[in-house]
Amino acid sequence: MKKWLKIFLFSLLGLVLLFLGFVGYGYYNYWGKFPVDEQKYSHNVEYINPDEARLNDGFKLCNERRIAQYYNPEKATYSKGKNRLRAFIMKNYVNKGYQDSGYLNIRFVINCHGKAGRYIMHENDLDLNPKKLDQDMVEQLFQLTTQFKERNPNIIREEFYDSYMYLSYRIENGEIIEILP
Amino acid sequence: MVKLLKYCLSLYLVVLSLACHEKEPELDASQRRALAEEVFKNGSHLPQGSPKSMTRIEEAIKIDTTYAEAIRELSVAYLKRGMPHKWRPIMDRAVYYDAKTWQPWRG
Repeated sequence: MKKWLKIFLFSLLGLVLLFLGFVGYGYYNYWGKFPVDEQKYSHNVEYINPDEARLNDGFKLCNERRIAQYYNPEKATYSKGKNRLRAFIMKNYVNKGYQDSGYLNIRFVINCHGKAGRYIMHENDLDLNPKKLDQDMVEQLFQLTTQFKERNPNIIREEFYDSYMYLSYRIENGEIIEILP
Repeated sequence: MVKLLKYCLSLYLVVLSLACHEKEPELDASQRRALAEEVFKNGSHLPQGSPKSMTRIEEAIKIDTTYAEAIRELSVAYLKRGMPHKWRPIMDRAVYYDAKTWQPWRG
């Protein structure tokens, strides 16, 4: 092999190795050097285990490994707006003599096609301590919440994404006082 | 065998030097806070609520258990994701250590 070609190839190899080293160092400093407590944080805190969720059968995500938050960057919302959502709930919810007070939080995933599924619920008292609420009331609110089939999916860099979403009902003596967020 | 005996003392010294571990100096409160802040702020680019971010915040709190800013940041990921029952007890701890800053946020 000609000498100049040898020099060129070795120089190229050196530059490639230098570049890879630079990229690797950057990656390590930005991401790799931060450890993970696998025992405590095996997933992101918002993770919903599909095996424990309701209405997950047949519910497909575009990317199981990349589920965004509903608020970031575009809001994943009910397609007809929050006022319509609130009006629908308030019109159809019936207080069948419930006396319970607290928060019912229903978390779920909106997929990149705007379909909702993978629901999980958290029941708390008004001081946000876990507390079992009237199960008939909880089931009624769950059924109403799952009526909203069509939602706007999240958009990141002009691409539709799956995202986590939740609805929180503040209930006092069986009456819905507020729907958040 | 003779050689082994000859090197026995040297071997013993090597093992002894490896076994000796200089005890890390005790940090005072301001040094602990400075170290905790460094750990906390170094990973501020990590996605909120991710295993790496949560582990990094816990690590900072472990260094300085009174570091309210980090405790509060640990709680926020739960609140924003609709889990106020997990947010509340952690936020209460932040308020306990720095009520002036975090009481108005928590209410």
